[in-house]
Amino acid sequence: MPPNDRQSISGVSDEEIADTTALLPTLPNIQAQPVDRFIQAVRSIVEKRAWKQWPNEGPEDVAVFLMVDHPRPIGEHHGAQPFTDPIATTDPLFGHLFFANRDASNGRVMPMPTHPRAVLEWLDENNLSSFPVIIVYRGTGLIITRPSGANGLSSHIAIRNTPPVVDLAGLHTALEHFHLNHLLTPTCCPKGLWQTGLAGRYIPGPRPEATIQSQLTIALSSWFHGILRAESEDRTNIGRIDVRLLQPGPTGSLAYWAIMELKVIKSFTNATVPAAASSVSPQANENAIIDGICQAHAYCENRKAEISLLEVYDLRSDKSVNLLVSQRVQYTISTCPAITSINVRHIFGSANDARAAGHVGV
Amino acid sequence: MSYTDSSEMECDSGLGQTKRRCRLLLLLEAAERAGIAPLSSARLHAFAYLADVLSPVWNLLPFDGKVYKSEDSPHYTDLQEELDHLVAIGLVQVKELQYVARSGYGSRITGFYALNFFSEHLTLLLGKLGARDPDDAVDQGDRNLHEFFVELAGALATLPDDEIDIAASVDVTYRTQGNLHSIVDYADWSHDTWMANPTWRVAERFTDFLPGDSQMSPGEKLYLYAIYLSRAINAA
Repeated sequence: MPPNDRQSISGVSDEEIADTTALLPTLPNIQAQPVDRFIQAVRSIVEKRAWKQWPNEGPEDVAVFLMVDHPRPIGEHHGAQPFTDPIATTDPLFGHLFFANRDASNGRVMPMPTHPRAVLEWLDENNLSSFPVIIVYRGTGLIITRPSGANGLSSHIAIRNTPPVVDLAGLHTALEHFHLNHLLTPTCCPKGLWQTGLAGRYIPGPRPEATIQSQLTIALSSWFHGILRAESEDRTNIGRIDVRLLQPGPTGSLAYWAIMELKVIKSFTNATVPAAASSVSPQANENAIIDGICQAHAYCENRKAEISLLEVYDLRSDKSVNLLVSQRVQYTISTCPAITSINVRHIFGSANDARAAGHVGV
Repeated sequence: MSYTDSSEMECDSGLGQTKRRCRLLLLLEAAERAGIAPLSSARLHAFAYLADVLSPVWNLLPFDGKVYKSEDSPHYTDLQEELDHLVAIGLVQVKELQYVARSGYGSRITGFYALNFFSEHLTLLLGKLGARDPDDAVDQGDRNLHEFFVELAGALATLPDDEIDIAASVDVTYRTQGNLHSIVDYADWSHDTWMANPTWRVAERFTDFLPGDSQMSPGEKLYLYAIYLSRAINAA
């Protein structure tokens, strides 16, 4: 283990080390699972090209990225050529199939081997259907991801034509996008948010806050890749779950820009069978919100962050009572001026419930 | 016993040879995963060297704690010999093999090396070495070593091809420690490996420039160190 008493290193400029450290937001999402890392990398490549109005692209509309264990032998089998660092180059993406590593930084590339509409069948016919695949459509501005392979479930990411804005409104946009696309109903939410098979009974998983935290960190890393670093710390022994966003400050070094405390309010405790789940009282949910406000305030003050948010994820079966308006919560808010905003985001145990609440597209 | 544990290595024994071959297979497998294979001789030796000096970042012992410092980037004659053997037994393929004259030092064999996936033994061997299904590994420690190699190869893959070749020659330990044509020892005989390995110190020092209790993973340190090397190359 390295000692704690670090010193400057002979022959090495501290300024150079500091400048390099400030590039942390540009790294691949190393803490994520390989497939999430791959999706973020491809999104970053595609969007950076979009922001430059697609340099060097011809009339082709579709690009396919396949994450494979060993790009060279698979690529050579199909006559593909090496590619390097598409984020720093302007070789065309569209009309090509990439056999890429998990950072989509290197691998092999070949002209699209079939009509774009038939590419999934082509992958199947060539025993490539088990690899995570991403299909990019320039015309519709969509990135279709199939993390489990060509025959697996798909989801989509809209290609943004401009870089994300780093301000409170921009952060709210990212958080709302995450909520609607990754949490709203059981079909889109991560495993562990609800107890398996019991979402319809509104019984949460064993650690819903931690589940949301890890997914939110990945989502924000992807959303703000290259601009902000998203990181999280799970200190449940003292009741804190947070996500932190860092960006280069005035001196160039990374500094806290925003911190978010996450709280879940719910109707029931976790259980594997409905009969074993205990009810959670409104008082307990209110206490959770009050704790979150105090923690977000204190941590923001302590870390001198610009923005401090409390994100409350409402997993209750009956969401009609707005706990934020209670006297105790309002009093706590008045004593915690560092809080920038508090958002309650509804999460439903079924698509029917979400539709009944007015959500469309679920 | 781990195939790649250096603690019991006896350099001139058959065991030492086997360990070097296993290490080469894992390095090449990681390069394949990163999409940077085939590796030129210089790049493969650079990768082996950087894996050694950066191994403490991953809480691993270096395979070889010393390197001969020359005008060129690091080169290991014993590793090259085992690489040749791996080619001979069909586990590794080589292309563009040639002799390259070195000023005053004879010549050196160079080529581009990659795993030979047509070998009927390769898949089984890689499994035993922890590079495939976790259940196949003889020693779970080798899986950790493989993960380290893959992450490091991924970090080096972010550098342009020509920069990977010379990355090791601008490495902090290789550049600042010892004299030309002498042995740079950063872990074999040194009592204080922290002070003897400034590469490790740079990789750990990145965290000193983060605010508060912000954290950085070992993998992120490898990627940042690769960026640091790239900046050093371009500043030179």
